[in-house]
Amino acid sequence: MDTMSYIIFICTAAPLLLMLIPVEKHSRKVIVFMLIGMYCCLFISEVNGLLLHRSDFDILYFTTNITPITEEIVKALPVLLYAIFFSDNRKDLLTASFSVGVGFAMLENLLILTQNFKTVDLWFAVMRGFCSGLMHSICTVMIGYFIVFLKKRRKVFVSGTITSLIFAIVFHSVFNLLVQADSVVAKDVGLLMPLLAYHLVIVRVYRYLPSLKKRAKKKNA
Amino acid sequence: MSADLAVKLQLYGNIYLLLMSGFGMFLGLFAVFARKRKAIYLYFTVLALISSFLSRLFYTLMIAFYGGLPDIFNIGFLGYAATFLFFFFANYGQMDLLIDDRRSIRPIYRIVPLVIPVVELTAALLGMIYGVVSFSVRVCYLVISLISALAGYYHLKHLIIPDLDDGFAKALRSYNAIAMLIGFFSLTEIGLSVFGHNTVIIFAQFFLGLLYAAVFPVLDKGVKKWIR
Repeated sequence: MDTMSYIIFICTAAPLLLMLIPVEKHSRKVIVFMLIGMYCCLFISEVNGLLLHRSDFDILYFTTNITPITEEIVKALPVLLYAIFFSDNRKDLLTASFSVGVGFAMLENLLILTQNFKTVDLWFAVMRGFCSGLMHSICTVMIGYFIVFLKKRRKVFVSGTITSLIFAIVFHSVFNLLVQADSVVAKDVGLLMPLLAYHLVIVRVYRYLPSLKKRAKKKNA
Repeated sequence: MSADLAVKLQLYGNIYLLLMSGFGMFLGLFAVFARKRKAIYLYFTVLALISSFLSRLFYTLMIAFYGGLPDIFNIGFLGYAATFLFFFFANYGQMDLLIDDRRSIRPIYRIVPLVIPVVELTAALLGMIYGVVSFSVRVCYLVISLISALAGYYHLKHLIIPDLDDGFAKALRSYNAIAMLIGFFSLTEIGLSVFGHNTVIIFAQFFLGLLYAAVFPVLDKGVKKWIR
C-alpha cells in the first residue's frame, strides 16, 4: 500500500506538473499550490503511519488528537512561507490556501478510495467530496484568512498565526470525532460542519474581496 | 463517590458548558453576521467563544465515546489555549495603547495587574509538582496558565486603570471583569482535575457557564457605548 500512495501521487501530479508550462501565470499559481497540497498529503501520510506504528495509541485517539495537529501544521506551512517570503497580496494568499487544501483533500480521497475500493459507494464519494475534502480546504483557508488579517499587524503575527492554527486543529479534530461517532445524528452534524463553515468563510471572503478591490482602485486613482 | 457518577457529572458539566458557550457564540455570530458589527474587538471575542464551544464539544464527545477524558494530552487543551489567546489579542496592542497612552497613567497600574500572572503561575507550578495526573496533562495546565496569565494581566489592567478622556476603559470594564473571571474559573476547573478533585469541578463549571453566556452581551453593550 505504501508504494500505491506514491503511484497515485505520480499519476495525478505528473499531468498537473506538465500543465504548468503552457498555462497563464495566475492558473500556474493555483496548480503549484495544489501540487504542494498533494505533496503535503503524501508526506504526512508517511509521518502519521510512522507515528501510529511507533506509539501505542488507539486509532480513535490518534485520529482525533494527533493527525489533526500534524496535518494542519503541514498544510499551513506553505501558506505561511508564501505569506512571509513571496506575497503580500491578500487575494493571492486566500487562493493559495484554498488550493493547498484542495490538493491535500484530492490525494487523501484517492488514497482512501484505493484502500477501501471494495466497500466504497456513491454515498462515500459524496461524503468524501463535499464534507471531508471540503474540511481540509476550509481549515487551510481559515489559517490563510487569519494570515491575511495579521500580515499588517506585525506585533501579533506569530502568536496570531499560532492561534489560527490551533483553531483549525480543534475544528478538524471535532470533525474527525463526530464522523467516527456511532450515532447517526452526530455523524450528520459532523458532515454538515464543513459545509456550514464553507458558507460562513465564503460569505466573509466574498464580502471582503470587493471592498479590497474598491480600496485598491481608490489608491490608484 | 463512584467513578460512574464522577464521569456522569463530568459529562453533564461539559454539556452545560457546551450549551452556554454555544449560546454566547450564537449571540456573537448573530451580531457579526446579521447586525454587521465591525469592531475587531468583537471578532476576537466571538472567536474565543467559538474556540470554547469547539473545545467543549470535543470534551463532551470524548466523554461520550471514551467514558471519560483520557489522562494524556488532548485537543480540548488547545481549545482553552485558543480562547485565552483570542482574549489576549483583543486587549493587546492597539487597544492597550488606546487605554494606556504610556504618559498620563501612573506605573502602579501596570504593576498591580502582575498579581494575576503570579497567582496563576504559582498554582500551575504547584500542579506540576503535586498533581496526580499524567505529566503531559500537567504540562498542558502550565502552558494554558501561562497564556491565561498574559490575557489576565491585560484584563485586570484595563479593569483598574483610570479612564482617559475617550472612555474606552470605562466602556469595557464589565467585559474585562467577566473575561478575567472566565480565565480564573477555567484554570480552577483544570487545576482541580490536576489535583484529582474531579467532583468539585461542577461548581467551577456552573459559574463558567454563566460567564460564557454573559461575556458577549456585556461586551456588545460596552462597544456600543464607546462607538457613541
